[in-house]
Amino acid sequence: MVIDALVAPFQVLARQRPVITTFVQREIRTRYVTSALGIGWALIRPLLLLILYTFVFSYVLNVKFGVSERRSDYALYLFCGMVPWLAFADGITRALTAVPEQAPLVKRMRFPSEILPLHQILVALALESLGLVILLAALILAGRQPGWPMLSLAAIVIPQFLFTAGVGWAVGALSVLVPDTRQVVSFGLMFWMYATPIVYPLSLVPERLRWMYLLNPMAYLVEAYRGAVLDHQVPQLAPFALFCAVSVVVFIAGYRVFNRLKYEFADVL
Amino acid sequence: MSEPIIELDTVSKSYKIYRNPRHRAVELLVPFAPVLHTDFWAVQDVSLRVDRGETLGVVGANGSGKSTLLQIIAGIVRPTRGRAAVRGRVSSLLELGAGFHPELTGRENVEMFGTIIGLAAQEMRRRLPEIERFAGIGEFIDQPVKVYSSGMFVRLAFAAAIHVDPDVILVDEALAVGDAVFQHQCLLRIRQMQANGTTIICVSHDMGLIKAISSSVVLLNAGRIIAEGDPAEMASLYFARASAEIAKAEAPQGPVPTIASDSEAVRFQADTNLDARVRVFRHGTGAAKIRSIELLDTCGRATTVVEFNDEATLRVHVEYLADVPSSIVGFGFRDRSGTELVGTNTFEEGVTLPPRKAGSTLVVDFRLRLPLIPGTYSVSSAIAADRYTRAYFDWIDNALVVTVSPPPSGKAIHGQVWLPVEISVHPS
Repeated sequence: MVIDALVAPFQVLARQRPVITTFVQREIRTRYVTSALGIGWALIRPLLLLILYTFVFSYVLNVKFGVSERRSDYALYLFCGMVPWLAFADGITRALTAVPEQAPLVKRMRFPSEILPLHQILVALALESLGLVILLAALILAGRQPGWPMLSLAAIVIPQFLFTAGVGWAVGALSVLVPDTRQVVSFGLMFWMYATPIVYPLSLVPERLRWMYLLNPMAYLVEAYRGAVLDHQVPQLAPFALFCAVSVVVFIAGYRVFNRLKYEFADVL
Repeated sequence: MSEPIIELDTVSKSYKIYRNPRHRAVELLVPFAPVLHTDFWAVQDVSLRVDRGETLGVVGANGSGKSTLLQIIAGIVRPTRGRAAVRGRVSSLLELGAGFHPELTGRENVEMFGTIIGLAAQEMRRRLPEIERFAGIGEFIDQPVKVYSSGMFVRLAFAAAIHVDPDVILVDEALAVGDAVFQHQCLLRIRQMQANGTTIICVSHDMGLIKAISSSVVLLNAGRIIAEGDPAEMASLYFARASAEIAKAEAPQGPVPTIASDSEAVRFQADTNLDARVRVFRHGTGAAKIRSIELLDTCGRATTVVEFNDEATLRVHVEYLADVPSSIVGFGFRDRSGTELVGTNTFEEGVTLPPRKAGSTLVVDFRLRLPLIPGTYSVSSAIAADRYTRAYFDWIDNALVVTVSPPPSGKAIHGQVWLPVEISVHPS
């Protein structure tokens, strides 16, 4: 019984793979098919945010990363932190409305509604790879050498997905039944972003407050991305293992929340 | 015998009704919160076995739980209590094209529908030509479905839904969509599927359809199965209950007027509720007014349900408010679409009504048979001076709703009105 409950969310990934694949493809196609710039929007938004944050935090507030004085370094560190954060925040934001958006499917067909938040999170991760390509290009333009530790991202992205999916399931299900969830989550995401060292380096945080960042898996994720891409560091085993463990727990817990609430969806939608 | 394809064991489904939508959140999030909802039992203790290849009709008034029952069988709604087992792939015609995305082409949508219902992509692609042929939408198959007409959309969705080799197919009034040709095509296809051993669950108010395709029927009322069995019997029962409901709804508040016994002379009676009831359906000069219309069975009792082609009397009570040298009283029966099927008047039947003074009354009895296809009909009645003047003294539509129940013989009625016919056969 206990084993079943733990394995169930992973079985969803395996059993529903064809539906998930179809939905991810469909979402990417239809999301941009009606806009003039198409998939370009997936690039423009992070670039605009990059310019905005660089201006505010680097030029105005003079925040610095590491030892370098160069503004391009700030932009690189910022962008490297933004890429995983935006994937997370966009995934969660889309997961919030994933179920109501497909109300006819949930109400009228026998449909595995658990794949709805899931596919939005996968789309967000897929679009993140575009951000990574730009990051890589910027890296080379800035005269830095991309190193092989970057390949460790392939491993990091797995717990990243599990963590995002768990949170997405929980808020996605709750938002169907309690509409206030959307407000809470959109505010929460903003709060969470500033609680994560994205626009500032962790080194600027006073020592006595730094323990709080240990409680924030996103802080670990952002730092791991920076280590792999900018500092040529493969993630250390112990913290990475801890992140994996936390992600698996969140993944399973999120699924349980979703599964518990999903039978009420048809009553509400 | 193999195990039934659908097996419901004392299945019940309750919906939580909240007086305030916020209460749902409170119940969900606040630990040890008091119960803030009331349960509405849409389906109660329903047990059902459907064998492979059977066609089950589900009938009942609106709100009797038919849709919820179908949703349970379709696996959309999980029963609150009891156990529901469906052994096979279910395709539902309940909400055609529910999963279709407007921006994707018909072809892409059909492929996606296949994936959702659990068919491999290449399997669905193999069926595409047949689906295309059935839908008959030509080049549009490669256009985004948002440019489709509603008819095209439904045809494609229907075609997709029936070409996925379902073990069970759920049919709703969905069959009533599309043009006549397509409807016949659908019914034909359903018959084919029946012949191929597909199990069909059909929900409809159309007793003709139910009787035509079902092998057995369950009658639902307030979420419970109140009768099950032979389709013709269940259809009669359904009609009987429906007209009882209508009678109850139309019954005057006060004591019911006493029924004239055979020996008693026919006496004028005014239905005090009539004026209020038919106000919007009425026009005329007012020189004479229809005061009551009733349908009497062979024993002279007022009724609203008669058996197909059974003898009955339509009685019209008229009060004259002006001196009238001559008048004609007539009636007509309209079906649900408003088409007048049959009707006549005293003039056409060669009966001359006597001149009447203001304040006098007249009761006209039309003894008739109603060889109409079972269903509900609305009765119109009118009184005019003669057949040449356009101005009616009084004209009332929807004066009475009458239900014609199916013939007990189970005879099928072709067309809207039965044609009395004599058949002789002459072998050579």
